[in-house]
Amino acid sequence: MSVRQDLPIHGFVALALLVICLTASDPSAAETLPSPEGPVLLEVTGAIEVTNAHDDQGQPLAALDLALLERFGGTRLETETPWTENRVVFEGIAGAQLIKLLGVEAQTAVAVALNDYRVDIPVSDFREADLLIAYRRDGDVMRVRDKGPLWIVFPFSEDSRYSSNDYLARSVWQLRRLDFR
Amino acid sequence: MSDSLQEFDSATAELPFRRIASPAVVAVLFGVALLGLGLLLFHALRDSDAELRVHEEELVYAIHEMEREFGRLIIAGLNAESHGAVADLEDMTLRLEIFVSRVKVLRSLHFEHSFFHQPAYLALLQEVDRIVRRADTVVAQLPQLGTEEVAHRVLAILMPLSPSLREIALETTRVHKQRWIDHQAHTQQHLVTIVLLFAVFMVIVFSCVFLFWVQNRRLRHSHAVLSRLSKDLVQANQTKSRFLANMSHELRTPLNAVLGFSEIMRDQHLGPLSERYRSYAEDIHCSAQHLLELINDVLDLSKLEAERRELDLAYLSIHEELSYIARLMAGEARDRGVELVCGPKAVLPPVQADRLALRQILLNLVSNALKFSEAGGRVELLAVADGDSLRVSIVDQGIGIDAADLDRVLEPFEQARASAQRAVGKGTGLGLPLSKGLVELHGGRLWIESSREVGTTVSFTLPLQAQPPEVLDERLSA
Repeated sequence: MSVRQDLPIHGFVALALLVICLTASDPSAAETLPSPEGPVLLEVTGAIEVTNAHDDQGQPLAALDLALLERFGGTRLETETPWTENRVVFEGIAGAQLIKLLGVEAQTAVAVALNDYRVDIPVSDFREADLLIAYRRDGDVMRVRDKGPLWIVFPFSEDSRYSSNDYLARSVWQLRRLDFR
Repeated sequence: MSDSLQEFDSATAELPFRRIASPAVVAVLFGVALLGLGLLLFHALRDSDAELRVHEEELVYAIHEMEREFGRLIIAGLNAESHGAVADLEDMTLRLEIFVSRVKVLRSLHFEHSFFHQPAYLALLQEVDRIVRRADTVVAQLPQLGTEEVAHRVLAILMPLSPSLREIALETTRVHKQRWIDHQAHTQQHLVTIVLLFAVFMVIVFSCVFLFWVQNRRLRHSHAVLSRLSKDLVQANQTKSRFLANMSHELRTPLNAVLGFSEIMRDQHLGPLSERYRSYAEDIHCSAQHLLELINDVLDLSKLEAERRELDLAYLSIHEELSYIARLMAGEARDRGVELVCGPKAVLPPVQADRLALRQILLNLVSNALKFSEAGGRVELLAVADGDSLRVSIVDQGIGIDAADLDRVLEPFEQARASAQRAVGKGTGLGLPLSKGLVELHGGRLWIESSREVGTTVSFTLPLQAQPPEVLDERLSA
């Protein structure tokens, strides 16, 4: 919409430019999702509609820093985990929120960690299973040596099915990249 | 018959031995086998504790991850040292962080495993902590030292760790593998034992089945022998009874001639005889009469035993029957100087019985009582309704019967001691068994209570309508 307002009035030219712009699709995405300013914590690639950067091969991707994550996230989850002694409060971006934000059209997300650990997570977990990509634990950002900076967690205390082997494997810590397929 | 008897004897003689084929021993063996099986299974299950195995694999994985991250950290360090770029140093610090996180994961594994208590392992963890602290300090001095120097120093700190990390990773793998092999061997051993136990168990079961089969066969065999024997015996007894019945009948015909002619001679109907001849004729008559009685009794008894005696049942007043007998025997009682008392005055319910049989029973018992009473004695006839039966007793004050003889006198052709018998006169010896048989045919019971020199009480019961009609019919048709 705003594109059409900024352009000269000539209808045909405007239409042609619009088609070009839509095909490229970058400008509109860049506007919905600002570019990251701080260090990038999470790269999202694959079948997503909204991107704000390109990788080395020129493929579009969504790069998220802490500020962006906090801007679209802010979901709190208090739970016990198999890796912590006491109940902890996580703060992060909900899976459903991320899907909505980036316009994900996929079945599976491949989650990759800093040590190249990778696991397939069904996108249904993002939509329905209260999956949380946490960036804060008990109010503090997490250091890499403490399983940070991003940690996929589930409400383990609420539902025993999250204690199953599958969900424990999906609880990726030191998360670096999500690839939707 | 003697053959089958012998066969029967040998069959019964072997039976108890086979019965000892010991259900107890078999049960104990069975129990022990089951217990052992249960214990072994429990042991095997506990050994293959899945949780422990998972933990152990986690341990191996964590150690290898740590070693791998250490390797990547060293590569990043070498890279930073040679290029000196800020990005390379950042990569190195990131790798350091990841390495530390792996060390922490290893430290967070808590479960009972001998591996954790190895001094080498504990020492290594402490060493890793110390080295990480030193590396952290160096990294913090980045502004003063510059990237290349930091990378150089960090590498110098870390490098000595490399062989021990490698060693501990290999050692864990070795321990884990050995444990797995041991576990397999252990399980194998248990499996073999379990299979053996099952084999023993099956052998026991099959032995039991076999023993059971053998015993069953023996039992069936001896059963067949027994039933054949019993059939033979029944047949033999019936043949005897039939023979006796026929013989008695045949004997009576000539006896009538003896009785008739001896009576004519005794009473001198055809002219006077010398006193001597007359006394002989009387002896002949008496003996013939005795013989007749004997034959009659034998005939009755054989009929009873051959189950050919049939009852003609009617409702009878026991009081009337007792009075009739008392009247009938009054003469003989008077002759013997014995007082005969007919007791019952009360109104008693009627009994269902065969009139002739009842009179036969009463006559036998009362004449016995009179016979064994001495002059001045007393014989009493009593009847009492006792529950669902009527009890009739003939009480005398005679010589009594020895306890040892009580059972014997109820057997045919047996009498109490011959001396006592001689003292009081003659009897056929069949009266009591005959009466007993007749009472039992009515569904009653006859018994004797006696003590020496005090007297004898012979009692019998007759059912008072208690017999279900069909049982009565059965008896009647028998």
